[in-house]
Amino acid sequence: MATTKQATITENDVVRLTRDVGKDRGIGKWPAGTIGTVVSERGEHKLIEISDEEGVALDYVSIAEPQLELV
Amino acid sequence: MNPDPSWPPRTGAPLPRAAEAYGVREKLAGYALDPAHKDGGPKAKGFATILGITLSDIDYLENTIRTAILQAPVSNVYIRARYGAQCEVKFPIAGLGAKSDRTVQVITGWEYADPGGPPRMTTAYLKPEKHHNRQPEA
Repeated sequence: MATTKQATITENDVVRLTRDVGKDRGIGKWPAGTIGTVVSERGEHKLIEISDEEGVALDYVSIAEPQLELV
Repeated sequence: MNPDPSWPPRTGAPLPRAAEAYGVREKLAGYALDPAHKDGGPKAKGFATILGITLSDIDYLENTIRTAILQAPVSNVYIRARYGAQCEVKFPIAGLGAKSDRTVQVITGWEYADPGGPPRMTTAYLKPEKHHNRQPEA
């Protein structure tokens, strides 16, 4: 598993998914490289809001911090 | 037993403990109204171009949201592992200045860190009537 050593990710940080995310984490599937914003956190687990180019939320996915990298 | 009859949140019902909502100003300042935010910038641009609401109008938007959630029903409820109940509340919001004749739906997101506790705002954005967006993979 590829992980990236980085600063702690906190609320409102912009992050990139480092691996594909399945529907079990949200309403859709999102490929590695998808950009989103941390809107809530529970320790290591972050809730990522994925929005379109107009800022409209498309999905919320729950991801563990090691599977994210800061943008 | 939870004595609060409004708990858990339900679609069509008022947002539980809406009067005690918190995190509104912080979320607006740090995300939804921040034009420099790398991902939230489009949200801020939407508020500015559609309704004339910018970061300098944060008092107006915060007060409008706080007032609206006392009346507006919950439009969606999501239960997510680790995050508990999360709610969406939609309501119309009027523009300012040259945009004061416009009213657009704003969508707000709320989470309950503790069951039965007060809600915390997680997001806010406008959804114009004609909207085209990308979709997740099938």
